[in-house]
Amino acid sequence: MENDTLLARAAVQKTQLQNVNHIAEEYGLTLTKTQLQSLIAAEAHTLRSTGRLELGQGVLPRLITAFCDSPFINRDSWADTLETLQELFYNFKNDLNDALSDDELVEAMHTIFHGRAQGSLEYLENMDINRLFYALRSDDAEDDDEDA
Amino acid sequence: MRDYIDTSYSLPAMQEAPLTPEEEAQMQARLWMLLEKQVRLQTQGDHSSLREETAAELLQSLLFSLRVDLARNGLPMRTLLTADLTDMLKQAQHILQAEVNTAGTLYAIALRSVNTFHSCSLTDTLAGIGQFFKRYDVRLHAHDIPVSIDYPLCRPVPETLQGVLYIRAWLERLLTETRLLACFAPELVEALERRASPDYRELPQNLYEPVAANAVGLALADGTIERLEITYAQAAQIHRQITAQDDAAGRETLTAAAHTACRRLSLTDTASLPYLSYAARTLYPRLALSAQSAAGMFAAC
Repeated sequence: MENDTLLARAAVQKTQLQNVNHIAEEYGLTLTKTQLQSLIAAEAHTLRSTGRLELGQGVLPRLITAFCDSPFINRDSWADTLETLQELFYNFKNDLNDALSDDELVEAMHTIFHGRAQGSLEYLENMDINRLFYALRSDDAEDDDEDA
Repeated sequence: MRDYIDTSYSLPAMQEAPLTPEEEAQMQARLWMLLEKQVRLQTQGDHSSLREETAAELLQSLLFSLRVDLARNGLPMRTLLTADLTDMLKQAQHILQAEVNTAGTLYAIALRSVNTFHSCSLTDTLAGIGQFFKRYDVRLHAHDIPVSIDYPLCRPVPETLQGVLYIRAWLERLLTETRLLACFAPELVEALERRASPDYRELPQNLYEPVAANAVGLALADGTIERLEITYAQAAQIHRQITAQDDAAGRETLTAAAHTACRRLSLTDTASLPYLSYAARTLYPRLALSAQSAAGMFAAC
């Protein structure tokens, strides 16, 4: 809303991202300073385009923690994948009218990404959003439903 | 004459110089932090982001609540630059909750005492206000009026009043109107309403205005107010009486007639006289226009 607050938030956000970045390093996934800045800028752009305001530290730390052990992501695709996941996250929040909490949505995205989507971000982009609800019913319910 | 409705909540607490750009930025930063707290409260920490329009609504609610506290304590807007806003908000919510309780009491009185005379618009609006007490959220949407108010009052509540303050003022005005209508036999009121507008039951029309006009007119014509009937001859006489004076004197005459009507109807409460005086003054343009216009306004018979 006003520059001082936004700058303060960006500083805290950067520190927090650097902290979770260390966790991802254990899985061979690191983000350079430039990539971190680029992700923060992408968040601002996504928030503008989705008409949302971020009051906390953003979803990136959650996404990094949740997806850093993914067998479908490698060092080269890590930053781009995070940017897309971040964009999808805020779009889903709108599409679902905030029906899922931040943690639930990240969990649902994680379940689908590693299940039916098999690491395909395109699948996540184009799927029926109700899948996000199904994904929360149980870890493997989605595949079971689909196969039935 | 002092308006009987306390609109102070809607007004700045006191005259003060506009905020400087620095003060404006500082205030926005403080409100922003308060908004963050409110969002955490609303979402119980489950969501860290929200839609811009939701944020705007929450911010409006915060500002409204804080203004209520400022107005109650006679403080300037600049207080928001230094005061503990969380504390102020808590106090404002106490004030607003007390207003909800008062409005609830007024609503109960309205349900017992208001004769709707089968006006659909009044019946529906009254029923709708019952929902207000279920839907109103003093913490997050304090400025909101989550029901539709279709029935038009003779003297509308200022749009600057929001939330429960609007509902309270609306009910107070409705009860003031009801007190005048209750002075007359219901069948006479109904007959007058029909003469004034045959479709009054289906249309969103105020019931007070024709009764107020006749009460004032009969006070002017020295007629029997309780009969609630003005003849064409009386309407013409009132027209002549009003046009024999200049505008200001004509309006004064109408105000004096409102006093007479209130006295003769034993309307001694503090609200009825200013309200009827207001209604009386609004009669002036049509009364002064022509005898025919006056007769139409009184629904003469």
